Amino acid sequence: LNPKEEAEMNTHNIKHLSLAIGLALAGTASAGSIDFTGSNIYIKFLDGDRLTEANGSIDTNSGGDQGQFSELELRMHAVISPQVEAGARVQSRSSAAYWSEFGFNGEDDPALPFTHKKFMKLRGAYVTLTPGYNWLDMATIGSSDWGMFDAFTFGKMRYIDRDNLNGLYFKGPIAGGSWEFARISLPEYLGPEFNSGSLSANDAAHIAQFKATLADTKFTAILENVSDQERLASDTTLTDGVDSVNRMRNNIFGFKAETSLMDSLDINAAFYRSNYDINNVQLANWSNLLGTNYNDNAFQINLDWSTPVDGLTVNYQHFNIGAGYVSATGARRESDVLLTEGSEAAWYGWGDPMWVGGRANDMQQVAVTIRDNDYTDFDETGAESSIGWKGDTVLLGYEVLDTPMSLEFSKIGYNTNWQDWGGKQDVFDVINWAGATGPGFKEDQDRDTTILALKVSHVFDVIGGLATSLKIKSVDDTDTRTINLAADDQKTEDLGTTLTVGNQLSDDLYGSISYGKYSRDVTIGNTAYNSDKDIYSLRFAYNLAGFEAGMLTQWISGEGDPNQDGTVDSLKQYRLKAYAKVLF
Amino acid sequence: MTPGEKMLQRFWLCILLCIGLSCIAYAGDSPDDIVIKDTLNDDTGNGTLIYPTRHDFQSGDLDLTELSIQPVTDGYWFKAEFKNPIRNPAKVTTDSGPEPLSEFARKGFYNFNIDIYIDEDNIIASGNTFTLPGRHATLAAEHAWERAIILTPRPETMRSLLIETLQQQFSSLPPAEIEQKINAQILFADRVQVRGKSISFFVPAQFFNTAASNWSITAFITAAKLQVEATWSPSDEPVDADSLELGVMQPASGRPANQLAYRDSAKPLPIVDILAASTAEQNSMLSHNASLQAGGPGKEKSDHNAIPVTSLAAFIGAPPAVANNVTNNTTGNPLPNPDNVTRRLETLQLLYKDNIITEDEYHQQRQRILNEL
Repeated sequence: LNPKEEAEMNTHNIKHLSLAIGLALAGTASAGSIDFTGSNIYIKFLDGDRLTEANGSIDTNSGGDQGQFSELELRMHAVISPQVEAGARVQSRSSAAYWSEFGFNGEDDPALPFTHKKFMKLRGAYVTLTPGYNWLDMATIGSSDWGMFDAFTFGKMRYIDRDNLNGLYFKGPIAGGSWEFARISLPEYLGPEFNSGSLSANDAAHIAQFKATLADTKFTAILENVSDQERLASDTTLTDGVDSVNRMRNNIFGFKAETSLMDSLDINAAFYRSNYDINNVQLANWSNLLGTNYNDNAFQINLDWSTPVDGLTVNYQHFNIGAGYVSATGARRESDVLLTEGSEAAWYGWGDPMWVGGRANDMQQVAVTIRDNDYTDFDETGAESSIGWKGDTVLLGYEVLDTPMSLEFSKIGYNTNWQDWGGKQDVFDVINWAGATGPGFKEDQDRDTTILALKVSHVFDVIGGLATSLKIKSVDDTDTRTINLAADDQKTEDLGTTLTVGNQLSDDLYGSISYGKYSRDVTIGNTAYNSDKDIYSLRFAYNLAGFEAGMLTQWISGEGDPNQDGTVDSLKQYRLKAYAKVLF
Repeated sequence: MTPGEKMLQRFWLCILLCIGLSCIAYAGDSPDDIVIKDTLNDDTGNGTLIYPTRHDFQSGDLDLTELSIQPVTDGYWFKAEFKNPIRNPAKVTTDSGPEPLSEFARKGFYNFNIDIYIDEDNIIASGNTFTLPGRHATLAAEHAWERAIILTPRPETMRSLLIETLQQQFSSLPPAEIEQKINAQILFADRVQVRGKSISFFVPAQFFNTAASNWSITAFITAAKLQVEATWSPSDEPVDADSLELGVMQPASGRPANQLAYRDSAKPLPIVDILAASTAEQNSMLSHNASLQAGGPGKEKSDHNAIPVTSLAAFIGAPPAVANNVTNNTTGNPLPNPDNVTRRLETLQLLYKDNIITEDEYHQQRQRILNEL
């Protein structure tokens, strides 16, 4: 090395050393000006015996049930002054094969999925101001999960990360209530046909939310505008700015009210109106949004009653979500807009060998056409679209002899019950991909669903408390499809019984075992396709200060006709997910 | 029979089963419930606390409206009513990792803790006045407690964390003795039932020395923090149990998503709601340097010149010397341990009350101890 190179190298070394010392000090003394609380190392261990091999995916839904990876999340939060705080997250991503890839493989290959590249990347950064003005409580610039809004308007749309969305948020007081306003940059995919065309960096959703309480009744009014602008093709002059035209516009008005009619009876209702317009977009046959302009409504009423009968509660929900209700920015996951449990999770993804065992957690319903279950494992809650659903749910809760129980009865009809798209093929014949991503609108449908779910639990006072629960759930679904054509009538009867026994084995370790028996009897025309499976599960949760670990192992066996072609296949699957998390 | 008719038949069968079970249950009801009402819309601590900006912490979620105690054959069912329905962790995910919160909070709730401190003997200053770590509050000596019941979403974890930290901090004490002392007087409730806006938890009768009708009750709500971060220490010194958050979300400046915020310039106690006759009384109790008062029906108190236990260390019987090994950063001299000072003052007071030392001697020695601070 010449003296100059040596001097430069020394300088670099000192910089690295300073950084290392700085990080070390920060790690050991989180009470400094930067707080690293919440930083974590997350390790996932997937194991399974599916025939097909995982291809670098990181979760069940994208095809992986084998592989192990480690991820690091570094969280930083600092109070700059009494009025200013800021934070950021740096997060690594891995493929499920991170451990077996031995630290390389694919980092320089652009053709391989990003999960192989082991990026450490800025995932979210924000600044929050609390200036102390009497008209402004707080302002946030940057990333958030935007959970302060409503699942029907601007909801959660995590795509791996919850804070992928960035924008500006303001909140302040108004006449005994509050106002909120946000301008959120529209993700590039969030337009018709999963793209927002040109000028995507300018596209945004604007949302205002007002909350007030009048005479013990809480009111919320929401106004939202989602605008996907497009450069006007005729504008070719480079020096006079850009002329744009609306490619997609989605306006939503929402109004919610909640009050207590008496001490034990609460009622709340919500109404939403969506206007959806698109211009100059020639849709192909698959889109996350409707094919052409359409306006529709969604509403629900909820009653929660703690009855005079000791231990008896009654919840009732009436809901009606229009087939053409569009909220481009509505929650796609991690939200549950309906009281019902919805479909049987154990049959989730039936027909796909990846999902022989279905999901190990209940489903939840979201009010968008394309719900999102990407990057989820079999132990996570799955989302299903409730667009077009209308009906009623009654949920009775009762407790007797220290035995809580609940009983759900739901009757669901569909606004999508129509023949020949209800005469609106141009609107609805664009989301007909009935695979893993969306429920699809069908050309001919005449469907209704009945759900009955009974849950009983009891803690037996032996070996420190034996928590026992029993769940029986049946879902009957009929769809006569084309009227006057009996051959395509479809009837699906799901019946599942699950018995679980759990015990706190020590202060640090909880374990449970469960057995579930599930049947799905499908009849199309006069042909029956019956499937049965048993699922044995073993679950552990272990924790120490700063450390959490969990494991779910399932063994699935049975026989059935997942392809509904008259061939009965044997069903056999073993799958395991374990995770360990260290929190700093 | 159509599928719909079959479902209806199953539905009515289930209803009949519930009715049958309820008929059996009514025979066991007790008429001796204790009911304590709390002011509505007072979930702001001392008046300055603000909920976290997280969407699943909404005003009213931590607003206690009523606490009742129902005696049953083998114990007591405590029941707390809140203004809002209690949030279920089953479909909520953690903020680090995709696992549902119910993996960690298995009792059917996740965003609050309830602390109940019971004065069983109603003797002034007899018992304990400290509260568990993370609460940062002190009870008035008049309501010094003999039994504490903690309802927290992760009872086993918090109990284990408290005991293990104490065992490491006071390694000179037999570990089993520490655990025994905690178990004898502090119960982390683990039989829990959630229904709508109410949560019930069971405490066995043998945990108490007296019947519920004698109790003086101090109860409060804190926001729950589920995650327990690793405690970092630059040296090998054991962690001080008093520094634990023990599942309590602390107030922080700004408008954080995962912590309470506050309006005033002074950081308030992390107590969001406490059983009190009025909001003004609550604000006063939770103001700085104030002591918590019992919120239940008034009990007649007797004075037997008792001296309360004011710290967790004293509660487990830690020898004063163990805790008195911290040195002054500038002089290198040992800093007086506040617990030690308290205990010496208490001893001094006892000697004076028993007429072993004179008043002059008492004041002289008292000043000498205080001068060490």
